[in-house]
Amino acid sequence: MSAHAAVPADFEAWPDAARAEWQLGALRETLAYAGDRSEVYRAVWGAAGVGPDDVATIDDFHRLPIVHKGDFVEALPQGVTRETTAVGFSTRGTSGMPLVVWLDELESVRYTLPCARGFRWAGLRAGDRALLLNPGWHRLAAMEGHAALQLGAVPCHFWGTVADLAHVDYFLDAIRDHRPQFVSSTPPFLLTAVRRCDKTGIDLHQLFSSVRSVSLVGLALTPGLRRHLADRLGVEHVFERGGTQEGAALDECELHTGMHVHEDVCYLEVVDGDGRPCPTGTAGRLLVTKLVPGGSPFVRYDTGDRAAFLPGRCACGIAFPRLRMLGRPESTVFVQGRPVTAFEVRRILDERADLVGRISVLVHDRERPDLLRIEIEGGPVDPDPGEEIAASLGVEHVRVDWLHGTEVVWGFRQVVDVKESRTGGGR
Amino acid sequence: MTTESTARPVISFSLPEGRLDLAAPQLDAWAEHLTACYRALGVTPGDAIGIVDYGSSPVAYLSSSLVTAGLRRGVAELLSGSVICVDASHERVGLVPGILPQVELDVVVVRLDVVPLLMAVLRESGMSLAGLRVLVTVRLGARGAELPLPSTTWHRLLVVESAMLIAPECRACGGFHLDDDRYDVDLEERTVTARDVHRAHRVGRRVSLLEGGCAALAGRWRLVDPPEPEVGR
Repeated sequence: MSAHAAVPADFEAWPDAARAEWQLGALRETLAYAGDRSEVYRAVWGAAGVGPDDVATIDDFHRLPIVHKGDFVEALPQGVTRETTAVGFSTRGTSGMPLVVWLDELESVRYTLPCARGFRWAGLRAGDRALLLNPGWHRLAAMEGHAALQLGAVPCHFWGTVADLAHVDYFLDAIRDHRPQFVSSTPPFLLTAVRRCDKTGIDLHQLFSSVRSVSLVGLALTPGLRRHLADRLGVEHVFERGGTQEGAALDECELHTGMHVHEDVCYLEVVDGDGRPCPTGTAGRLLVTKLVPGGSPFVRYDTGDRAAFLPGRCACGIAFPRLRMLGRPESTVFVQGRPVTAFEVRRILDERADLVGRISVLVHDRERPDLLRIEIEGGPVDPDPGEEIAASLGVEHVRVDWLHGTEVVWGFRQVVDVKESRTGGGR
Repeated sequence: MTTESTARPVISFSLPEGRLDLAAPQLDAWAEHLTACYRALGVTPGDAIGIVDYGSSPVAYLSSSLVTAGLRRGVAELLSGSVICVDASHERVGLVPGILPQVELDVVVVRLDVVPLLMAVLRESGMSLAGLRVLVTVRLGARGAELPLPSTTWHRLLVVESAMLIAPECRACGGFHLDDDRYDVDLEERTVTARDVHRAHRVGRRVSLLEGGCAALAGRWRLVDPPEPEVGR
């Protein structure tokens, strides 16, 4: 059992220096575990001439090489794993080959704690019925039932999966059947549920009348979409939750000022293209280090996500820093040499009552690297949002194409190549 | 042996046929039963099992105590093995060719609906499930519409989620053998009822409900789903 297994219940209120000292101890334990368990880390650290024994301070830690998915994939077939009494999950593979990550008992116990903490922040109470992501869908989903039980709630599930938007009727049936006080889902799935109710004449407020709060994971939530969903569903709060199969864990408090990083299980960094730390408020690449010596180790792992730490402290009193997740390579295009994420565009569109909740995708057009192309479902609105987007994002040329009646499925992938775009390659 | 539990449910499913609530002792007993079914189909201790099914299926939520809260020992713990969970959605099934080179699997459990998709994505990737034991979860009464299983290493496992009707197919007689300790059979009403969930499953006319076992597998009662489609006979 880890020396850091007993995380203090009031860790979220500890002073910065005390938490940093605790984290350094946990980091060193993680490094020893990774060095012992992972051929990949031994090879990467060996090539760089550094290792766990060289890390005495956090600055030493920052000198360890950054590890990418490719390092694991290249290690195949040597990287083939055969774990005992463990559970494997796969990353989505949207930015290349999927990566299998393993969960063991220690990791499950340790990660249930922040999940329960996040659910507590989101208002889950003893005696509640919680309609959760189905077990087995994702490593995060595997923690949810444990967290709900820990808080004295009953985990409830619908038939099927959030990964298939055609299963939304089963989700709606489950809301009707379970009358939950708390719901965990994904933004695309919940928005599809709202649309389904609109289409079939189901009274959303009545259907969701038992629900106090909703927690959404899997895609960054814009402020406009949050307000829209809360209003449409008639719920008090819509919370954003973040997490990766590699171990990042984040949750919002009820002030919704950004997701707090659960510092007892993960150490997150935001770095620039050269691997240097980005100043607070500046977006960069997200690196994840899991602070649990269990399951698949991840140390300074580049998830491909873009993120930024938020400045200042949250008024809620939780001391954990806050992070804004901006997107992944598959939800990012480069315009005039700088990355633009689908989230940044949606954040602008979702502020407009005539556009909030409409599905939009960015179009990757190699031949026009100076042009930000956006496709939006439905018909045009007045004024066209192109000018506002250009001004807000500092992009010179923006083109908005309207998809009119074309049916669009909103998923986690929010960039399409110009060849597969609905409005074609016309320039 | 299973017992009826009046304990507080630790998990509750809203299924198309109705609500299914399970308490912790029931979860453990069902995991033992599923493990016994797997063993009857050739799964051995230490095996690594890949599961391609939705999280609302018992083959997924009974797979490990790490996946499902309240379950003390799932299949992975009972077999001292490992499981890898792959959701049966179109997107996730497409990941299987990327997963297979990373994990040394012994068994793949896949729901019947997604077998064609799984085979197609593997074929496109130049891969196959050759050498693996493949268990296909099937419903009752649909056998005539099923494609023949492609190899002798493929086996059927009956899974009716709402009634917790889980039974292995016998290689000798082709029937699904019911566990005497777990199910009650009403021949007149043609129902099979799992004792601890009280949800009777009515057996369709095409399926034979036979009393008297065969030498290959235990169980007084067998369900035989004829392979030939009714139309055209």
